[in-house]
Amino acid sequence: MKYLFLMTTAMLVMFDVLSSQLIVNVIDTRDKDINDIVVYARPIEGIKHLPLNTNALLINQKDKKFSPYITVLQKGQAIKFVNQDDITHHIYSVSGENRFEFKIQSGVEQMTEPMLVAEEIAMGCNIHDWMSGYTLVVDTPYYGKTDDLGQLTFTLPHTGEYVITAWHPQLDVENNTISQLVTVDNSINNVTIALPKKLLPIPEQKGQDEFNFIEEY
Amino acid sequence: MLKYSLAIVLILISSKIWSAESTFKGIIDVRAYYVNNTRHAQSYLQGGYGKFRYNAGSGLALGQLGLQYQLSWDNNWSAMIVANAFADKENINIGLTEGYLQYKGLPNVQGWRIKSKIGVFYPQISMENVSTAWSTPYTLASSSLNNWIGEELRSTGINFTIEKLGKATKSPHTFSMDFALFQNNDSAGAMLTWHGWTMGSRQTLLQEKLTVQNFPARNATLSEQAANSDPFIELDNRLGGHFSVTWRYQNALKVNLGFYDNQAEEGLVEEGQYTWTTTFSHLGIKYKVAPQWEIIGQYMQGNTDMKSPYGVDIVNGKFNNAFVLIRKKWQSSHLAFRLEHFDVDDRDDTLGDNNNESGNGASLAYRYKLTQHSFVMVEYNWLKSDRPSRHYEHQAVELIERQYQLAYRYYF
Repeated sequence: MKYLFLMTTAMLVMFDVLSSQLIVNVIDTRDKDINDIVVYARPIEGIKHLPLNTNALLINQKDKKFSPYITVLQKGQAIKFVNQDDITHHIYSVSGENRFEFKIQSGVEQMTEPMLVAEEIAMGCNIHDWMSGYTLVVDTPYYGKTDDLGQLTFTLPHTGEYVITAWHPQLDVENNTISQLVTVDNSINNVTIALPKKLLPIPEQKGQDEFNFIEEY
Repeated sequence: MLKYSLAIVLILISSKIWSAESTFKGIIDVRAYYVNNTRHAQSYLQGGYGKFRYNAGSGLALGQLGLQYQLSWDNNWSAMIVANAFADKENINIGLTEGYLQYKGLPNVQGWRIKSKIGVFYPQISMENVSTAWSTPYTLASSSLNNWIGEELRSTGINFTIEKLGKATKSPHTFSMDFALFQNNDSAGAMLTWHGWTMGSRQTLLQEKLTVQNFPARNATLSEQAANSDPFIELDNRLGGHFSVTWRYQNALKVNLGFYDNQAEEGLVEEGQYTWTTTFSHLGIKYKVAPQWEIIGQYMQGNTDMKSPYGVDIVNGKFNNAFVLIRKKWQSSHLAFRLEHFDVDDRDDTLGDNNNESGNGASLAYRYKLTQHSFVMVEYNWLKSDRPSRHYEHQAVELIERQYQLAYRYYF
């Protein structure tokens, strides 16, 4: 029992030593911190042995908007849509490999199939054209969105080389992403990603006509 | 009427057979009104030359009771039925205003989408009448331009739309092209000529006939004309066409340009109903200048021509109409101000049928939101028009009309 305790402690200490902190800071073209940017870290080696996540990603339809507007999930996760509005929506994704389409009535939850290809998914509603939402499927468990300080902290189990990528649907560069190669060591690693362009305006998820319960006649 | 009832029954039965979602929407609009005009002119709906829906005086009215029933299947098809009722002291009626099957496909990767309507529907022209059962959320009385659409235009046929949604390519520009082939609108233009432009909220029901003014030519050249015009009649078995293009910029701007031609064959008359060859082009702009400010403008220019079976021009009128509406919203309030101008230029030589007219209107509407679904509205309309045909009723050519309305509206 004593040995087991010692071994566990040793492993925990080792793990702590081996795991690394990576703090990514995303700034815009004027060097200002920018929030709600998706960032993910993809190790150069051992990508196949990364842990999987089988929880569903939650995206709401609320006030005739996709909420949140941008999300990120790992390959293999499904998306659970929850319609919190008092009307029906017709959700679709019609590009790439991760396609889905269904009507979702008020108060209903609808689960998609697992997303199996890492790519950007553009979603819309065929009843309310102004609704749009984006989700990014990544093939790594290390992802998130920057906070109000433009930061995202990763705890990575292994040192080594990682490609750090920032993504935003309104980042008007190829694939809407910018990446850089980072060597992560045992210390606290700080990386700054400067977006090469100002984000395009995020479309307001609102119709032109004011009567939100009447729709366009 | 029988065929419409049959269609409704079929649609209701089909909802039991295939899985479908049905939704009901409606509007209840009750009003008190006061109309004052310099000559006690009667409303156009009563056969007079007054340009409002109500006769001079005051009263209570059911401004509109509109119901729309939609049945949506999972295969992108839906059916829509719209019924309306209107009631005041002189004029009470209930019936259907539209009924159609609709297809709305999903957009493809590049944002191309196809839509279609088959049945009886409004040509897509009005930028005001965007709410339940073709009501307008801006004012109590539609502009004269759109009031004419509500009175005399309805397409029975097929409408085909192809759209390019900008968001698929992250572009702020969305384009669409609309093409309709229709029948049952061969006498459109008759009322626009004979009573001229009008301002109000009365839509013609599909079964309804409209009172024709009693001008002298009806006892001479036009003795064959029936006392009531049937606006949604087919006389020549030819198809009319309506083509329009729309450009949208984000959710701030919508511009629509179109051309309408009912292609009626000239010189036909059946049971007192003549064919009127009516063509017009129209332009509409809706622009959200700032989150609380909006401008709507529409313009229409066209021609309507009615010939005797011998090919003689009996009525030939050129018409124009334009309005600008500015609306400001704040908290629970909204204020809309509209200016409009219209005219009809009578270019035939028929005696006792002078259809010249020109007029200007101004409207001011205040709306207060009580709850998410209910509103109180007050509105003032001022309309000055010159119309020589008023001489036939021993009235002065110039008429100034004022209308005050207080309404409670509930949308559900």
